[in-house]
Amino acid sequence: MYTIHTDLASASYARKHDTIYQNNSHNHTFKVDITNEQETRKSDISHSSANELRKLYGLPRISHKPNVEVIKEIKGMMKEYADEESAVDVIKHSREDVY
Amino acid sequence: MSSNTQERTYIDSNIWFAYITQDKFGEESDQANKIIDDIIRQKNSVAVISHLAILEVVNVIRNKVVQKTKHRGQLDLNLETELRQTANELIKEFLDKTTKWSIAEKLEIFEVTKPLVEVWKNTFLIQNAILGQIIEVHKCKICKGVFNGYTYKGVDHYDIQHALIAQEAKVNFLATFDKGYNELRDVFRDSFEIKIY
Repeated sequence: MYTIHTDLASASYARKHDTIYQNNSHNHTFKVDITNEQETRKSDISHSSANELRKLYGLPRISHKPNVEVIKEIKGMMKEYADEESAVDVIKHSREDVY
Repeated sequence: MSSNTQERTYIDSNIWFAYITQDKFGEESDQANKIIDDIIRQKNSVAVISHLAILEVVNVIRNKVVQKTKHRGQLDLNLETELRQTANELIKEFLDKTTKWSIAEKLEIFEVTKPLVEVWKNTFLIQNAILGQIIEVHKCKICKGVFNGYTYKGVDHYDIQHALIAQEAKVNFLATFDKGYNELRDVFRDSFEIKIY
């Protein structure tokens, strides 16, 4: 799905985020793939949230794109805290324990 | 699915917990591993997490670290400091890896934009429309000993809030182990599919 942006701010946004666009230099009309644009915005918000959470816990800001497999490093990180309860019950009991 | 379409899966906190503990019976952790691995493997798949789910994981880490520590006599400042540090380190590790996954663009930390009061009002509407089951029980939930009584089983308000967030995040799927979500299938049918593993 495509939308046409005639303002320079949108063009700048598209350029900055490598969204798909076409430049007609005569009338400053740009075509931006709206799906990609929305995904880019969501991803920007997500990055910002990620860095806010990192700051809260004293973790350094991420300056480069990590490997996607990094998430596998948390697999089993709390193995010694597993028990007979199902994960559903653990979460539910944890909700009940807050007072 | 076209090559440009993202497949977005909201991952419930119970799946995250099974993933980080690799629970004793293995069944849930196997499923959690598969869900995460599939997202990593498939180019257009993205996991979605909410601040609510992160808060629940952080909360459960704090609880588990304390509850699972063997009794070593009277609680003193040293032990308390040790437990706080252990919980904090585990939370930091969880957040470090999940936020890196977010920057790698495989996980979206979704920011709810609807006012909290609107989320709660919608939660009320759904909760009011769904009444769970009242069943007879013969075992105590706490000590597992004999106890004859009744219990209420149904979707709780946190589950409804997760589903409302998933709806706002425009996900394709909500992945959970919680069978209580069965009652929410019809409510959210037009927005996303609830996958109960």
